Amino acid sequence: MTTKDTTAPLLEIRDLAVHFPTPGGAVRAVNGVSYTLRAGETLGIVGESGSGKSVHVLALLGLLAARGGAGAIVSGSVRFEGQELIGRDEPALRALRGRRIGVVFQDPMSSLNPVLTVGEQIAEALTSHGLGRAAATRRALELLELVGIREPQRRARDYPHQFSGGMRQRVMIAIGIACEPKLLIADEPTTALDVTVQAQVLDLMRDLRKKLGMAMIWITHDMGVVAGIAETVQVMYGGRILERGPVRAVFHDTRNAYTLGLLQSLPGAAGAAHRSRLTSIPGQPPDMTRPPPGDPFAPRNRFATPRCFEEVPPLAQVPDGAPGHLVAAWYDLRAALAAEAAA
Amino acid sequence: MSATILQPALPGTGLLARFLRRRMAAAGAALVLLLVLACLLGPALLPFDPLRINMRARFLLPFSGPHWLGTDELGRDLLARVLSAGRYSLAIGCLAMLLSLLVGGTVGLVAGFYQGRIGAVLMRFVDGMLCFPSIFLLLTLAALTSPGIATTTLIIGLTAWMGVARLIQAEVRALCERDFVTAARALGLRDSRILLDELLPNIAAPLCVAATLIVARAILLESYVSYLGYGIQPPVASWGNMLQKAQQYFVSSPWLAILPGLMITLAVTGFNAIGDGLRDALDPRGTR
Amino acid sequence: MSPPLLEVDDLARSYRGGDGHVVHAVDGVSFRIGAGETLGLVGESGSGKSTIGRLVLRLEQADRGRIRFDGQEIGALRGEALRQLRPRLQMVFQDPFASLNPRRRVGDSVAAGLRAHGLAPDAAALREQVAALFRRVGLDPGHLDRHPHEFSGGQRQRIGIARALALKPRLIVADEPITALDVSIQAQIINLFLELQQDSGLSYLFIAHDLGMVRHLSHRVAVMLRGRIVETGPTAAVFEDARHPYTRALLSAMPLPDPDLEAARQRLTYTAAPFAPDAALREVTPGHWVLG
Repeated sequence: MTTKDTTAPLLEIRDLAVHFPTPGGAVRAVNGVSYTLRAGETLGIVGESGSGKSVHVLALLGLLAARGGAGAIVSGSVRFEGQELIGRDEPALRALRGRRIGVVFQDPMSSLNPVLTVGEQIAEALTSHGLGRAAATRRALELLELVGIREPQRRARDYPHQFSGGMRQRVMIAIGIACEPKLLIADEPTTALDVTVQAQVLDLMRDLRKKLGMAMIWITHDMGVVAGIAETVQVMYGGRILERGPVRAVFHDTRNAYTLGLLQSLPGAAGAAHRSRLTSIPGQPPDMTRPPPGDPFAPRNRFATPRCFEEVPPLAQVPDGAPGHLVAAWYDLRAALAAEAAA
Repeated sequence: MSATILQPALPGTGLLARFLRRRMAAAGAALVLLLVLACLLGPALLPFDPLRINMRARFLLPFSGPHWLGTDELGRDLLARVLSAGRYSLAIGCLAMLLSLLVGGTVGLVAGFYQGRIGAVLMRFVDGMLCFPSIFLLLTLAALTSPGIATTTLIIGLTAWMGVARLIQAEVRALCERDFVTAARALGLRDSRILLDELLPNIAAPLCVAATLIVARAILLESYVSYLGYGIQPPVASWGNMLQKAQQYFVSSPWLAILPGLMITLAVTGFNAIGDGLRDALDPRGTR
Repeated sequence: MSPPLLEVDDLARSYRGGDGHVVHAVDGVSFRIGAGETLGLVGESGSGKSTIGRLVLRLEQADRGRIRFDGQEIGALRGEALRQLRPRLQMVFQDPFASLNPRRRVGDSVAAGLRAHGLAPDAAALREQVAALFRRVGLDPGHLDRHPHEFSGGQRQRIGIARALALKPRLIVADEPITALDVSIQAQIINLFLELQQDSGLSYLFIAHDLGMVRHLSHRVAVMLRGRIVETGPTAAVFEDARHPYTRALLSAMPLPDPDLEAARQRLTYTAAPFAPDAALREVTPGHWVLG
């Protein structure tokens, strides 16, 4: 059902920046983010709070004001299916959201209307994009079945509070994919869920992606989740992309010190014996009202060179790396690690 | 963890700035300040004693001679009277506010913290008190006591505290769910310390809001009581008893009623505007 | 062998739900924690693991069961006797934003327990003790007079740990202490927990849903399901030789930070079934117990 056009990217982001003016100075949440997404591609974005991972998608969806970020200054360009999104008015973006771009957020309880049944809410997503009442109701049942909710006929008449957290998130996914969007953006959709439920939702998403042929942006802070779902991984920190590439390249041929720090700090990392000290990243995430002038990670990076503190490194192809493996670093991580091992 | 875009607003930062940015609140504050200053200093600066009777200068029109706002039925200077009356009305308003904050705050704090039997009994008592229309309660109490400043204050204070108790009880209940209160209990802090050190500072903001709103209400109640003859007794003037006297002459000398009525309106509006502004300024983006 | 620091037997606590039916949050749970030992408690939300923490800390009253701490029966202590117990049992919370009083200076929050138990002779000594605690958890003692909002999440969690340490406890109940922290900060806090244990022989009841961290930190693990412990034993035994179907499902669901392992992963499903009426923990290998 999807037209496979491999020439033009589905989503093309150029120099996206988002700043929030506050009395204490502007919060520089996103500082020049550029990337493209092919149709059908799954991109996993990893980062911690303040990395800009959530803010930049809210900006391109036109949802900043609705999520407590009114007054934000957004610059740059976001083209979706060839159309510019930045600067479009709310009705145009609303028509796009849901229909061409589906969205799933972390907290399903606050995203669902407590006084409407789940069936009504899915149907509403369909009728608001032009489907007739009866057809929408039928389709809502199909969707509930598709996201793995048993007895959809009965469950469609239930209210959100009658669902468990995992089931509510499935409902949100049903709404997100209701109009068979070309792109689904999921912001920490499994963070609030239990491990077993998270695994079920991840399986469901892998399955749906295949069935519907949609592209996906999956935002998370969990390296394990990203390893399981993404084809391309993008590591963000301080409002910038520090590393990006095919998932195996980023995990097995890591070129940025922050990515390496994240991987090494995990308890399952190589060399982490039971109850031994973990290799933690020292220091604190940057204050985004006064981000470091150069590489945002430089103050916490033991491999930082003097240039890292002064100049922002460009995101460029790793010279001898996999195609599409990009890194923003003035230092050569492989050489630095080898030198450290020799010393 | 994800959708926090901005740092949460810091408590206290730019509180004054946020308050003053609201035009109504700033206007209310200015109005109240002006009224208080006028009532405090005015009577001393004016050449007329508010109690001095001059039967040769009765019912003088405003703006028509040495008496700027005219004179009343006994030839007393109206401006001097309305300002000295303001002292009583404002003082009673503030004292009654303090009293109801003390009673209502204590009851609310205790009932919110001890949510078991003690809390239930206290809140049922509050509900019971609220069942009486406060104006009847007020009049009953006033009829049973001898009128005066102290008793008027006491009566108003004792009929206005229930709202505070409810507000604070709800606030404290919510705070008790927060981990820092659990932490204080786990540390083995005595209840008195938890109430005073952990909870009280966190209810200061709603108490401030309640305070300004209660002053407005107390001024209004004082004028009811005095208007009905139970409050401040002549010859001492209060806005309420001035209104009462004025009604006899309303057709011939309406300014006698308009003036104290206007003062009540200004004071109540001013305090309400401060209260609303404070509430918004303390809670810039909805209760968390 | 010396007796364990904490012995919990047949602990139970139920709540009446809004619609009148009774929820058995904790339903006959028994476990031991030795001095200097870490017991990791895992399970899904609503399995009762947080309730166990609150019952052990005597922040809530159990319906039945015995809690022995340091040789003393503490399940029924009240009033002053309970207050005297408090210093030895402390807690670290999940949300570093809610666990500190926003209106108090952080130094005062840390000092509150010392003050309450008269553990500092005078103000200067108190301040010195609090400063030492700040240094102990890796904070700048110059920041004693700041308010919580001036700190990051990780720093606040350190303040919360300093507050718990102030009374020199024997056991700390840590309820999801790293869940709300940034990934790059979690390892720092775990390292701090390890260090404190090595230095002062603390015991931990470490409640978490991050199985990787639980595995790394714990000597022994207990897996909870619907108010019961379904499997418990030495960490290696539980993680490498899981016997209960729920434990197996849980472990197979654990995300692995390696795309190759993720691709090869076989996820097991567990279909919820009611416990058999005669279900009891049985020892399968020394120290490794499984409900069956």
